[in-house]
Amino acid sequence: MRSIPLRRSKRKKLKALPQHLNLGRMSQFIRDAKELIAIGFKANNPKLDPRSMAMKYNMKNALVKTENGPLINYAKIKLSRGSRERAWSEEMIFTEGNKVTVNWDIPAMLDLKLIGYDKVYIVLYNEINQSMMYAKQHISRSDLTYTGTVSAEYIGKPIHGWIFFVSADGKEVSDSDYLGTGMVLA
Amino acid sequence: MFNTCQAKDKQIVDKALAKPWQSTDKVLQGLWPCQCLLNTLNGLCETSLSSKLIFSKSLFYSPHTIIFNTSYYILIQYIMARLPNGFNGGMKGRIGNIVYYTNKWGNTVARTIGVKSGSKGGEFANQTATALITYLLKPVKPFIRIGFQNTPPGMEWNYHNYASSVNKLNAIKGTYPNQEVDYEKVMFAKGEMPLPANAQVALKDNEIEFTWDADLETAGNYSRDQVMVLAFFPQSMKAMFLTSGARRVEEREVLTLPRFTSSMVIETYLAFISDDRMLMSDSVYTGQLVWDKK
Repeated sequence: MRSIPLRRSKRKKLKALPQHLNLGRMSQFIRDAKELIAIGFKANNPKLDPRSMAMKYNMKNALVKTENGPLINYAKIKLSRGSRERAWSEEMIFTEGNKVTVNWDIPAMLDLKLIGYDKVYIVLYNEINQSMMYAKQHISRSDLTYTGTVSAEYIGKPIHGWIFFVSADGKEVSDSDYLGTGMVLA
Repeated sequence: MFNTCQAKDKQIVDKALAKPWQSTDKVLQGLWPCQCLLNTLNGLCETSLSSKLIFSKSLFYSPHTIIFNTSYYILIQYIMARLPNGFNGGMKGRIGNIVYYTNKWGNTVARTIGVKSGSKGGEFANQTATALITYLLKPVKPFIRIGFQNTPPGMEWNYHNYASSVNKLNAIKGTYPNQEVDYEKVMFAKGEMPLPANAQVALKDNEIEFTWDADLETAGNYSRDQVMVLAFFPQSMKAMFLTSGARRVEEREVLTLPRFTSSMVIETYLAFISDDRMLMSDSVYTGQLVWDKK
């Protein structure tokens, strides 16, 4: 139980405004990805919660400060960080009928028995609507491909994609990999 | 630090050294100050107080204070560190700007912590170099765990510290802010075995073929040594490797690449490890390959 501080009576200083904008921009993105951040950053640091870890990393690496305000470099965004094997030869293809196909590979030298049952998380982000979606059905790493349908409201809008893996017991996660950007085809 | 422990004022000492502290009798036996303090602090540690040891001329009575009636009065306010094994054991915690902890080899380490006033010129270069090496070593941790397992005597470092040190000194080129990794000088293994002889690499379709000369005439090379090969992809900071490849006498090992969709630069390395996994050679850079087929 604690008291809530009183409403701030001092005006925000001009010097602090850029930082407020930066924090606000990244915080909005992280909020959209809340569920996935909780999975991808949970085992990283026992002293910091997943959201704080994600904010810390992405503020440092994925935020570009421009004259017009902060912009997110989606290629450097990480939705998960860990030591599990990352995706190889990952690609995202948009096909007609609102469909998205994601392919990945498992190199021959990796032990399929160890990583074949990893759960795959494929994440799509609509930059215009600022909405995030991911495939909720179970996809195994050994499947090597996944095709899903996105909502019609995303037609013609830029979509960013990421992929990461979680071990079958949920204890290990891989770093997320950026799949690129594209447009959903009708 | 402390003058002679002369408990002139027995009443003061009695009040201060009340239970559960050590009795005043021991104080009055004329013990040497360090031993007196030792016993007293031992009593403190058993109850794991938080007080701070300073010099003060003021007199202060409380259950948590001990006063030595010397030319200075020692007032214990806050000790932030703990002595779990008594004064003769190691300390754990922080006192002022000194932090104490026990490392994994059982040694108590003390170091200062200062207030950071912002990085300066040379520090930025150091920080950038450290970051470059950290990102370089992250995908190859299982490889360097074996490759740098033999730390030189006198250095209490783990494999990651050793690998970082070697590569930070040798494998960074350029000056701040244009520093980058010099892949020709990166090392992913270090040891005392002879260097691989005539190590070559070739890209054939979807495979990287490593070849070498067995060179069994050289002392330290044995037929049952195994090759360790590594392919590093700088564009994606990923790596593929084998830590227990072909035997030395076979003179050939193959790494099968995944199906890439775009051009890929590959930096390749090779090393040897003995059959009992105790000795290894330095890794050698075998060259850069460019994969550009679908």
